[in-house]
Amino acid sequence: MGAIDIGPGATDRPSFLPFNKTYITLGNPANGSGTLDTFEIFAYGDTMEGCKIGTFSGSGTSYTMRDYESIGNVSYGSKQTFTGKSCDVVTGDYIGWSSTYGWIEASTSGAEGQYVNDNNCFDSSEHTYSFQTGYASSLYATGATGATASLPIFAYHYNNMRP
Amino acid sequence: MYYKINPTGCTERNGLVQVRFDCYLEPADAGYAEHHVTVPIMTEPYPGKVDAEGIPEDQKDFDKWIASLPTETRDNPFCCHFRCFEPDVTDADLVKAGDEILTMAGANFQKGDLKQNTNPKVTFTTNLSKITASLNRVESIKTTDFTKVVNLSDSKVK
Repeated sequence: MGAIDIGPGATDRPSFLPFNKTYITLGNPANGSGTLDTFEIFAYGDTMEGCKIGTFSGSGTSYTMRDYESIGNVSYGSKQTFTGKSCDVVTGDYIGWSSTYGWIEASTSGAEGQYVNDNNCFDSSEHTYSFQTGYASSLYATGATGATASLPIFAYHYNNMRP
Repeated sequence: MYYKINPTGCTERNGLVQVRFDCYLEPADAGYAEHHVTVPIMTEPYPGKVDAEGIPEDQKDFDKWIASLPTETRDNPFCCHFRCFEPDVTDADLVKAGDEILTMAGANFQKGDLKQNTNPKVTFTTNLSKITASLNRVESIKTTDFTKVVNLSDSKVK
């Protein structure tokens, strides 16, 4: 199995982004298909709550979530690493996030850009996003190539009702 | 080192009980400084102008405001590890798993490679009875004080 990585990097950046939106950050799309097992996030200003991180596919301004993991709270002040996860990813996917509270370290210029939607888009539907030129969220994930852990469609939709 | 079971990361996941173990270093542990942080306490929102996305329009003013805030010093986890269990997992099993996870994560942190953290293989399921049982078990885990699990006085759980 080979190594996969995705995301622009979970670092201390000059700015931050607020919660209650869905962000898909374009830096470093996935370089393989398989399962992501480790996520890194750098929160800003206060503890993030209800954090979700997932993989997204699409083109133009329309994207669909492929799979996601519920992280819970994320402490701020240092890069946080979450291991033992199991999130499907396909080559070319982007990484995205949302939270019900808190902020993430972010760049607002000089980066590859990202998409934003003012709603929770962590479901199986296609959503339309607005582009943020030069933006990046402090996110990164790694995993291994190979068969994904996906369940049949019924369970996929059921599990998307989970918090 | 010590760990805590973090209820905010405990959920039902593909028919199983997913538990989050937050691992912490102590002052005598190598690398303690990385996650021993002093951070501002945001007692109120930033009073200056923000744009439509909620980002401060004047970064220098924002930085000055941040510098004026009171601060606190605390320890962040050096790793938060998730593991899935069957819904009949006992509290003692979880504490035993937490001790094992702490040892594994601590060793991988010292090697600079938390990606090496692993879990035993599990089988996800769509069985609704099992999903319900897992949901119920997650709720009980969220309200359990694991420091009071009997006969595990050597555990590093806090």
